[in-house]
Amino acid sequence: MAVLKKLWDYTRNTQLWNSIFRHGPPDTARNRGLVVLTNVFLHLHPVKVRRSGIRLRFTWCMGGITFFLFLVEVATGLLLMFYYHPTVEYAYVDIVDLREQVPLGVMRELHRWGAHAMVITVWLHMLRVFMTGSYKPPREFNWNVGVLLLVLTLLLSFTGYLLPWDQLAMWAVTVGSNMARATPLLGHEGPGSSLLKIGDISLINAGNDARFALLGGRFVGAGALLRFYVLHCVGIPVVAIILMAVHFWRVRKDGGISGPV
Amino acid sequence: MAAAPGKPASAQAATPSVMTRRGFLSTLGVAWTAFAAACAAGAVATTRFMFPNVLFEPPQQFKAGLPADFQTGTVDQRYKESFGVFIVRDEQGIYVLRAVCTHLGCTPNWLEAENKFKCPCHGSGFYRSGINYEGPAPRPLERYRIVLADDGQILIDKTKIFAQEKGEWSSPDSFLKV
Amino acid sequence: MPKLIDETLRKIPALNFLFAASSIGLLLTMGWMVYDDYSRGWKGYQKKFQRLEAEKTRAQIEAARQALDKETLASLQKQRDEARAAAEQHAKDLKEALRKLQDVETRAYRDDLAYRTIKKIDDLEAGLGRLQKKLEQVAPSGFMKVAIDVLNAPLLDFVAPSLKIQQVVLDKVPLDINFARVPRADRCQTCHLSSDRAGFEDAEQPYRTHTKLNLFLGGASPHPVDKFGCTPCHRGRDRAVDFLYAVHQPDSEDQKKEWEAMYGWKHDHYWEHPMLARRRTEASCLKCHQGVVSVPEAEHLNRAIELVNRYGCYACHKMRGFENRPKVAPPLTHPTAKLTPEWMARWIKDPKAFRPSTRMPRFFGLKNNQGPGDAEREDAEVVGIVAYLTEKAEKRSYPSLPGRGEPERGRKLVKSIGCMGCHAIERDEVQAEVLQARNSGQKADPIAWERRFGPDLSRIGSKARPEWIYQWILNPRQYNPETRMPSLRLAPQEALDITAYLTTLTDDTPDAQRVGDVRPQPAARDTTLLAYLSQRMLPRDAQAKLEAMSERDKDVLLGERTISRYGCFGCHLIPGFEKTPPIGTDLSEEGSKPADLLLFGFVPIEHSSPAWFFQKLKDPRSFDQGHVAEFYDRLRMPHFGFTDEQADAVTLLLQGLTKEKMPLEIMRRLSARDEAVEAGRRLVRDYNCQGCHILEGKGGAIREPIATNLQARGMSEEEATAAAVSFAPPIIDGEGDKVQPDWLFAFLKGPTPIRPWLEVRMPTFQLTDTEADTLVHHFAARDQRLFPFQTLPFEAPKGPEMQAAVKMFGPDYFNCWNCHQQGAKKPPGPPEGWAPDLTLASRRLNADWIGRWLSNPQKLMPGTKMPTFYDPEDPKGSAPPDVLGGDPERQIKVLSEYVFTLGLRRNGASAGATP
Repeated sequence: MAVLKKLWDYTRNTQLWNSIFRHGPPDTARNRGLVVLTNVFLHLHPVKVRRSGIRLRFTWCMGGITFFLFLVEVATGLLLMFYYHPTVEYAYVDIVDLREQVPLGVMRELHRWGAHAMVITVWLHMLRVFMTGSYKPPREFNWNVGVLLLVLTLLLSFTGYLLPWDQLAMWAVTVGSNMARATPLLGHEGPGSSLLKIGDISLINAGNDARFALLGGRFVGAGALLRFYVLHCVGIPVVAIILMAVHFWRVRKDGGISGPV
Repeated sequence: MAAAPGKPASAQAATPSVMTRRGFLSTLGVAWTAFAAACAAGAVATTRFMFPNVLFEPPQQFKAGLPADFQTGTVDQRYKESFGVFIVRDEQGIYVLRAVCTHLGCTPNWLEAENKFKCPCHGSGFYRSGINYEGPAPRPLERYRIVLADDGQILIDKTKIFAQEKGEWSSPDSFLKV
Repeated sequence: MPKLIDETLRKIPALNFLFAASSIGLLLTMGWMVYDDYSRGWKGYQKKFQRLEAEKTRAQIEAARQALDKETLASLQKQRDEARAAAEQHAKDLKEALRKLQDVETRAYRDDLAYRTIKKIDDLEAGLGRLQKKLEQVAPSGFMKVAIDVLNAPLLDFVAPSLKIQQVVLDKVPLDINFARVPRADRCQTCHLSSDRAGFEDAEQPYRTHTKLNLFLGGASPHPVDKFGCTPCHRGRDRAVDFLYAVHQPDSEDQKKEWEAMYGWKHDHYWEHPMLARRRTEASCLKCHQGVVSVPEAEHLNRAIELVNRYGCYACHKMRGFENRPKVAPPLTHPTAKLTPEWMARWIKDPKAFRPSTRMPRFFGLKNNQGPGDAEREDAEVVGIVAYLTEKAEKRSYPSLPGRGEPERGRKLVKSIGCMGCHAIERDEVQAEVLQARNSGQKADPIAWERRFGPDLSRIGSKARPEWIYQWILNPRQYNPETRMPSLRLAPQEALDITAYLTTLTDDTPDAQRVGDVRPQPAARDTTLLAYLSQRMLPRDAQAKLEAMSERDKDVLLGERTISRYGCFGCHLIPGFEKTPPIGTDLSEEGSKPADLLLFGFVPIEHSSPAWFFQKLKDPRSFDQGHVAEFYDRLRMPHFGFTDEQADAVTLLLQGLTKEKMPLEIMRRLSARDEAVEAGRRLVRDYNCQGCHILEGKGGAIREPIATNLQARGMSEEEATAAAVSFAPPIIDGEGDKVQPDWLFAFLKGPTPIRPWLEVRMPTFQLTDTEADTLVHHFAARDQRLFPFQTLPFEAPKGPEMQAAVKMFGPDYFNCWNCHQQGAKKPPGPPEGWAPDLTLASRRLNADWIGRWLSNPQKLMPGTKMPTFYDPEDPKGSAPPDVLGGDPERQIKVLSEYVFTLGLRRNGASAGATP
């Protein structure tokens, strides 16, 4: 025991140790504050929270769980990208192979169930925020950021839905993307789009409207698969991460978790 | 915050005082051991995930037809593209050269008119036997295992490599007597 | 040391406990995940296979050891015996000089013997060594066993596992998944480990060797596994390594129950290409073997193709591979010349009641038309059809018979001249009980398939008018220019005799079982017509229109509508419907149709397409059961009375008609020669040549009636069967090798008797030049002969060779004229011993064939009565010793030159001429 203690003391006096950990052990209130403030992973978390902020009955921890699930989705999604080709020839058989032969292909099930769970927890989080009136000033901006995050979560689910490239995926996305036809002005069946024309040439048609931009074609095909893949893996997550940073930051700045202001 | 009990706890763990506490050896000890084991298993599993069970490459062993299909005195290139081998037949028999330059791994070409293998990358040259004689290649081309299968066809096994400089070309499996 | 925390919100031990519990939970879940991922069914199969292989190898080692022991023992004994014999030899005569010599010789011999024995023993030992090495591999022991277990352990099994997924990637035979063509990755051999290895024929599944290794999987077979894999033929999910995910399909009810118990098998509707039931695997042949009459060794598929051709499914349904086929039933442009309206009505109502073996299906009185009023309506419809046909018929009648025929002579002719190759008179040939069993579906048809080509003649006298029969058998084409019935070149008196006989074959069905005359049903007719007319006009107008029509016109109109609804014109040529398209569903891609596009109604069968096909074929109208529909909306497919075997065969074919597109390089492509052979096969099938001749190992159905005929003349059954070979038309395999194309062409166009002892006649088929040419080319191509021109370079033997030929021909040796005809000169002896006229040889035979025929006739035509003069094992020993130096080759050459030029000499032509 004494040897261990000696070793421990020696280690803590090396330059290497001190270059990484700038402060002593978090045994005083000041040190504990400094530890949190100077650590990149911990600094997002406030140094001090209200007692009510960690009461489970009040917060349900739904925001935290949602963030945790997001991390699970990032980790499993990253791994799945090693075994998935976003091409019409291979997308479906790659999914079959995840079940049949890929080592720990259960990753796909984690990803899928995690996604379902995330949608549920996001909704519960919204519900909780709404029920506790936490959307009220000064948190109204963060509520709006939250609404955007909800939309992004749903878009992640929608884009991920196409990737297995089975019949369900293709037709569900066909149906879903048909909604974009009705975009005002920008969808070729949407209100006002018929007004946008030069002479007989209509400016908004099935070959250039909002749906076309979403699918990269007139129907769900190779272009749509690739587009959805890029959106699912890069586009939407990047936006979501930025908004999440804003969201967490504003939680602190707008008076902490959901307590009375 | 049930999801992140580890964060404040990890700060605690760094203090020597914790180590002396009985609680560490009981509940907290079990907790940390299990947590560390799970993390380690996760790391190993992730590593395992990176090694596929099934490959969509040409197989490492293949049958290349009957010995009579190969004409004496020729360097056969019919399996060069699909399996990366030259099959050479001389008076005594057949051997299989690995179509990978021993310099930096490009694929050499067989130049029939000049009777040599020539690597397009840095100009290494090899005799028909695979022995290097010009350019930067430090050693001869390698040979693959070649045997006769039960049905009389040539069986080439790319998992077994014979290097001349190690004296392995004298191994009976590196050369098929015909 | 300062106190860390004095006051906490929650109790720290409780948090620690929570942390510990969740960490343990996490660890367990992780373990569970890894284990679940690791434990796969196929690993169990591979382990079991290793045990099986070890067992097999041990047995082989045991066998090798015994062989070695036996060999050693035998050789030692042999050496002892040798020595003993040598010693006795020595003892017998001991001459000094000889003894030395013998000593040396014996030793040399013994050395040689010993060397050979040792070499054999060495080989056996080497084999044993190989086997033992293999055993070490398949059944490792000690350290290796543990090492291999570690290498197969979870998370470590990427280093060098012995349990591995076996896969062949097939980019040449892609799979259609969601509108994309995807390379297959067949992993079947992950469990079916020894399917491409001989030696596991009686192993349990999944290890059994493929039943046709010479055709499939083997490296030297036409379908090697690395090129064709498994799923292109068997279907199922290529990438699956799990029994259920592979979408196995049970072959029988019993197997289904067994699988349900063992694997929890159930129908997998997530995969559009379920495996074919084992007995219907041949369905897959069709996608690559297209445009052929039959697929080699695909017995069930070929049966199905024959059925579709005979029953004419393609007449109503478009079917890929059956395009441009002739109509299967006689034209109805002038039926009144042949039939009476009363008979027509009874026939239409229920064809099988009059002729149980008929292929004409039943349209009326079926399950979905049993409601109130349906019987009357159907009677009205039948009356209508007859009215329509008689109304539109071209008025034609035949003059009365020019004389009287003798039925007994007619009977003999019918039985002997060849009618029985295509027709049967089952009432005379088969016992009534057997027919009864056949009619009720308990027994297969007792008559050979080839003899069902033409209709059964049992009741022909009650059907056709005698005047029509007379004209028909004299020249069938005057009544039906499309008919495949040939002319047998009957003399007018022969035709009269046959007519007289056939008219005696009348309907003997007891009245109680007979379909009664169909009565007109004016009321039902009018309601039905009104329903039809109201589809296009107001009921009031329809009523008015109907009232304005005469009775006859109403019948005719209802007939027209009924024919149109049931599509009778698919099989029959019917005036007024010449251009109407057929009414059936297009079946060209039926095999790809998912089951949910088929209407199962309330029929309690499995919801899969093969089950539906089978049910549809067995009971076509059953899917209407429980539906309420107007008569014109009900199912229309008629009832063919297929047996289970037939329905299963056609189901197989339907499963094979898929929309899969195979790349050209994979498809079976026919060379020009193959095309010629196939074109001929098509004619052989269409003209039923195999009714009389044996060709490609099939046919010769006429032998049975000929044998019966011979028995009737007093032969015993055995004698008759043997003699039937001589009295039946010849086997024509090898005909292309045997005869000259010119001669065959002329013979097919206008046959002349070659075997005058035969009563059966080669018919005149009235082939077109193209058809005859196709057939000649077929035979030439099959035997790899030139077509159509060749030189005939033979010259007559001269001088001594001529004498030798005459000598061999004579009674001293082969005595050829004893059997062979010589021009008009008939040989002595009974006619069953006669043989063809040799003077025809120069015009008929291929010169080189004669030589081969002489040297071994049994090889060219097994069972021929031509004697084998030269023993194929020892031609020199069996050759006449004192002719041409006893050289068989020269003898045969001279003989064939002599035979070939016989006719030329007689005709005074010079030898060596080309015809």
